[in-house]
Amino acid sequence: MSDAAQSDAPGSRGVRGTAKRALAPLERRIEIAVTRAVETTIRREIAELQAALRADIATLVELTYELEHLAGRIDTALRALAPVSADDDA
Amino acid sequence: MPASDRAAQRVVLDVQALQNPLHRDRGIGRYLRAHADALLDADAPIAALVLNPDQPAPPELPRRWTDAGLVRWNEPALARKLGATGFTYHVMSPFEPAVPDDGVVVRHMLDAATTVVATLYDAIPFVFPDWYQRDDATRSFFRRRAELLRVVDAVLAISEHTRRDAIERLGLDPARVHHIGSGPSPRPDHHGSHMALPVGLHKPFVLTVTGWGEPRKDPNTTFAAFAALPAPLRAAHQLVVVCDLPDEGRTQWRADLRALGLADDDVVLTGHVDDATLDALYTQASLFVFSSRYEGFGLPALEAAVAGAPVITTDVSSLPEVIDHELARVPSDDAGALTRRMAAVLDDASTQTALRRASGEAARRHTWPTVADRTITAYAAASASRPTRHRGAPATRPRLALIGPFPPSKSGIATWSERLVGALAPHADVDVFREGDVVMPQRPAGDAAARRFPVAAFGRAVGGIEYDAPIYTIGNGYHHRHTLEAALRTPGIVWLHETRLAGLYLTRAGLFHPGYEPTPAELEHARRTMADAVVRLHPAAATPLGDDDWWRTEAYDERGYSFLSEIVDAARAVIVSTDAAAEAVHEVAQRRVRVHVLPLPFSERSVTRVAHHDDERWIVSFGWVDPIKQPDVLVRALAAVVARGHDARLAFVGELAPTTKDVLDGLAGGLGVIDRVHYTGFVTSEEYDAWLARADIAVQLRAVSRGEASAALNDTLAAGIATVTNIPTARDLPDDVVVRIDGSDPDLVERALTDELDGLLGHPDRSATLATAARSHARRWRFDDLAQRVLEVVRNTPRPPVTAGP
Repeated sequence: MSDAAQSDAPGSRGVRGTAKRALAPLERRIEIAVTRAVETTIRREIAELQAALRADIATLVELTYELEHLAGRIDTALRALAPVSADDDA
Repeated sequence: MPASDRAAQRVVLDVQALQNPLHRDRGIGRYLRAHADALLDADAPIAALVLNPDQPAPPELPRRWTDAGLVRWNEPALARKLGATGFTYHVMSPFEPAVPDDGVVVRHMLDAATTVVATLYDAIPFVFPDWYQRDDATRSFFRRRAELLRVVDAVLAISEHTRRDAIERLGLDPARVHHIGSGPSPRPDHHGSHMALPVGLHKPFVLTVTGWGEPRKDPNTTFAAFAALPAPLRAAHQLVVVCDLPDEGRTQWRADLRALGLADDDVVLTGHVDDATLDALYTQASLFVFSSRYEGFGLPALEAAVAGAPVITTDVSSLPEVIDHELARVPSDDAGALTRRMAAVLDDASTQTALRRASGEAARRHTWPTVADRTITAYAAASASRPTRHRGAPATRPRLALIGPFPPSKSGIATWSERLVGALAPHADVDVFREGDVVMPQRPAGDAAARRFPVAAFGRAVGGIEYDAPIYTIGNGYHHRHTLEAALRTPGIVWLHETRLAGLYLTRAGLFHPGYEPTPAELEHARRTMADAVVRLHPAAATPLGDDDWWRTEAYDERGYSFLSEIVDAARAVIVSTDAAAEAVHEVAQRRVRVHVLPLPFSERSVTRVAHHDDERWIVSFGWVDPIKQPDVLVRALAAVVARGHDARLAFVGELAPTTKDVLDGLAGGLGVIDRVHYTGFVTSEEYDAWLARADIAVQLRAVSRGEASAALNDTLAAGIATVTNIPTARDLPDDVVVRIDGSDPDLVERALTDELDGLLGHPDRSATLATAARSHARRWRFDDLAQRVLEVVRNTPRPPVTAGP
C-alpha cells in the first residue's frame, strides 16, 4: 500500500481535520503577530524617514538664513559702489 | 624668464583626486601627478599639495612630494597662514565627486587665496548631457561645479578643443581660459620590448585602449574595422583590446566579436594591465587605433606615439591636435574608412613610415615642460588680471564645529555646551550640530550668530574640511549616539564627560530610545551588537553577559568592560574634566593621544547669600537624589548633629524617585528628624539659585565614582557655600576651598560627616573662611577661561601629518 493510500484512509482524514481545527487559532495568532511586527517595523521606518526629512528641512532653513545674510552683505556692498548722482552732489 | 619670477606668488595644488580610488590610477590621476611633478621640475613656487581631510589618505604618494614636506591637509589654518602673503589656489579636479561639495569648493581656500585657478580636462558631461546628466542629482552636481569654473580667475584647459568647449558650452570668458596642453605619462624605468606581453598574443597585433560602458569610447567601430580587414592582413594580425573589463563586459564583447566573425583567438581582451605591460604593448604594436567619439585630450594616442607606434585616431574633438597628420585621422563611427586606413598602414611601408614620423613629431610637441611653462604663464596672467571673484574677508578666526546635545535637549551637557558656545563666540566662528529632536532654526534675517544644524547635516551638507577642528561632546546616553558615529568617521577633538560609555553603546545598539519599545528581533540584534562590541573592545577577556545583565549599563561597569577605546583611538585629541578621567583614557589608548584636563568651569550666575537672624541652619544637598549619592548617610549625620544640640535642617534639592523618598522618610522618622528633612523635587533654575542663596552648608556625597566631575559641587563653591564632600574628583581642588572626606564606606562617612558638620555649625567663622576661599577659587575658572583653553587646545591639535608613501 502506498503512502498516499494510507493518508486517504477515512480515520486519518478525521485526525487531520481535528488537527487542522486545533491549529487554526494558532495560525491566526501567528498571523496577527507577524502583522504587528511588520506594522511596528513600518512605523519605525516612517518615523526614521520623518526625522531624516525634518533634519534636511532644518539644514535648508539654516542655509537659507545664511543666504539671506550673504544677500544683505552683497546689497550693502553694491550700495557702496553705486555712483553718486548729481542731485546728491547738490 | 625663470618660472619663479613669472609666478612669484606661491601656489597650493589641490591633489585630492589621488584620494579617489576610482580614478587615482586613471586619466585624471595620471595627468595630475605628472602635472604637479612638471611644475616642481620647472621650479614653480609650490607651497603645498593639499588633500581633503574628510577622505582617507591615498595608499601611496610620490616620495618626492612627501620627503619635501609638501603634502598637507587642506585646512583653515593653512589658508590663514598662506593668506597673509597671498597665494594661488589651483583646483586640479573641479568635478571631483566629493560629498559634501565643500570638499572641492573649499570655502577657506577660496576666501584666503588671491588667485584661484582650475584645471578643465574636458566638457564631456556638457557635450553629452543625455549620457552623463541623466538624473536630477547629476544635473545639479555638474551645474554646481560648473559654477565654480565661472568664478575662478583662470581655467586651464588641457587641449585647445577643451578650451573652445569651455567657452562655447560653459559660457566662460575667453580671456580667462588658457590652453596648457598635455604630456605623456612617464614611461616605466625598463620600458621597451623586453616586457612579457599578455597571454594569448602570438602574432603581430593592432592595439586599442578603450573603456567599458562608455558609448563615447566606441570600441565597436574598431572591432568592426578589424573584422573587415582583407583576409591575409586579418589572418596575420591579432587585435589587442586594453580595458579594465568586468565579467559582464567580457561576455558582451565576446558575443559582439563573434557576431563579426572574430574568434576568441583573434582578439585578446587584456583586462587591467600595469604601466610596464602597457608600454610594452605600445612599443610592439604594429598599429594603434583609437576610434573614440570624443576626448578631452586623448592620452592613450599620445602615449602610443611616444612609444613609437603608428597611430590612427578619429578626427573629432582634441584628437587631431594630438597627432597632427592627415593620414592619422578618419571620421568617427566610420568602420569602412577605418578598415581602409588600417589596411594601408599594415600593408604599405611608406604610409607606416609617415605615421611613425607623425608620432615622433607628436612626442616632441606634447611635453610636460611645455605644459608647466604654459601653466606658470597662466598663473601669472590670472594674478595680474582684475579678480573675477568677489572675495570674502579672509578668515582670521578659528572655525569650530561643536557636535553634541544642545538645548532644548534637557541634559546637563546640553546647557553646558550652550554656555561654551557663548564663551567661544567672541573669539571663533562656531557652528553647532545638535543631537536630539530636530529643531527648526529661528533667527532674524541678517543675524550672523552661530549656524545651527541638526547633527545629520555634519558630513552631508557641511563637511569636517571647513573646520580647524570638530569638537564632539560625548556622554553616556541616547543624546550622544550620532555624535559618536560622527567622531568615529571624522577625527576631531573628543570631549569626554563620561569614561565608561556602556549606556551610549546600548543606545547605539538600539535600546533605550525614548518612547520606543524594541521588537524581539531588535532586542536580539541589540544583544548581538553588544556582544560583538565587547569582543571587539576586550578581545582578551570577553565573556558574554547573561539574560539579566546584557541590557544593563551597570553590568558592564561591574565587569570592567569600558567602551572608551574606539572613540579615543579615533580622536585627534581628548578633553576630560578630571585627572581620574585622564587616567582612564590613557589606560585604554592604543596609541599616544593628547589628553587635556579642563575642569568644569564655575557658574557665573550671581547668587546673593541670605543672612539669617536665627539659629536655624540649612544643610543642603544639590542634584538628583539617588542611593548612589548616599542620602541615607546624610540623614543619619543630620540626626547626629541635632543630637549634639544644633538647630539644623536638611534639604535635598533635585529630582528624586518616590521609592527613594519613602526609604528616606522611613529612616528620618525612625531617627526623629522627619520634620527637619525637606525634599524639593525638580526645581527651576530660579528655585535652584534660591536654595544656593539659602544654604549654610552644602553636602555632596557619592558612593561610586567613575571620575566624573560634579556640576553641583561647582555650583556650591561658586555660590560661596562651605561644602563637605567625598567625591573623589574634589581632590583636584585646592585644600582650603572644600572640606574633603575620604572613602565611601557609609559608617565611616557618617562619622566623619557628623564631625565636620558639627565643627562648621559650631564655628560660623570657619564656614565663612571656607566660603570666601571657594568663591575666590571659582572666580579664576569661568566659561571665558575655559573657552581660551579650548582655543589653545585647537591651536595645538594639528591634523596628523600625511604619511602615505611607498
